[in-house]
Amino acid sequence: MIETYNYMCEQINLLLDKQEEDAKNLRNSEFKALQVQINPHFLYNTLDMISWMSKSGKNENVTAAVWILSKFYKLTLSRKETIGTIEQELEHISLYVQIQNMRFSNKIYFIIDVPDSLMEYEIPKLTFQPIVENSILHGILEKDSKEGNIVITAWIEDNTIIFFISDDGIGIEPGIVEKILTGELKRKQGNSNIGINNTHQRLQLLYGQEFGLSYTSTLGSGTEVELRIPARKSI
Amino acid sequence: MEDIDAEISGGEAEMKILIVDDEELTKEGIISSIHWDELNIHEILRADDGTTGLHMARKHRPDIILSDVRMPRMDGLVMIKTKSVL
Repeated sequence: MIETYNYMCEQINLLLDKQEEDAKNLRNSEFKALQVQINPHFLYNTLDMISWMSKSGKNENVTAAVWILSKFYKLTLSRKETIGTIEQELEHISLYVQIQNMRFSNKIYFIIDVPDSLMEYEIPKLTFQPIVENSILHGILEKDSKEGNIVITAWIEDNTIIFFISDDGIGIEPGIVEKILTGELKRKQGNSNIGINNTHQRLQLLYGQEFGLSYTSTLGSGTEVELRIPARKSI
Repeated sequence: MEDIDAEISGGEAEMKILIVDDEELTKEGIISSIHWDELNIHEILRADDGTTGLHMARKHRPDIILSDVRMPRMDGLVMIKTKSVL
């Protein structure tokens, strides 16, 4: 009886410790997501681009870039909630690609093929950005042509929303692809890897181990990311 | 690649510069905001990453290379290190 009681106490303590650890990890990953949200490097590069536009007298481009940038930050910084709708998240990522296209000569062809019926479902903010950033900076821009496609599709399957984000960039080497989600890659491989690893952790801490990201890639032909989140309608 | 990225302007070739940057607007901005003639630079070459930059540096032997650091394929530091051991 005493043994059983002690065992039970031990299990409760273990569970409490795990809960505390999970809460700490979630706070940590939310903080990192906030850093990605502000993304100083992206902001600095975009302001630098606007400055060059302005110096070259491209007034219409300056207006467009400032408008897109302000909308981009408004979508993430204006509200406290860390969860948004798929519609907002897709708008956010479209604005991000528009800015990158201004920097990189409109060579990124971005296609969103997500049914309207999914737009009101919830998704953590900034889920797509690190994935798409990686596709652009380490996939498409690494090609000779610096030109390529990114496609986002989605569907519902057994109360899970599955996104498929594919690019036709240079692909990722087999030894590297397994390390993307574990955070083992060094800084050399780019900051977006930290963002990807953090996004994966955040999704798993929020929703459980069966959710998150999985990567498959073929060197020379592109990368595919499967993203799974529970299907929950935004209130 | 080289035909697309290389742009040679000016008349007599006294000094030439190679500008390496992955952002077209930055390259355009630099080119339009400096009075190259006053600096005795009569030829401007452009490349959009370290790999193309290195290739062009080997081929055209510019007097000056102005390079960004973070770029796809090959960054500016690797390009300069590789160039300097030639």
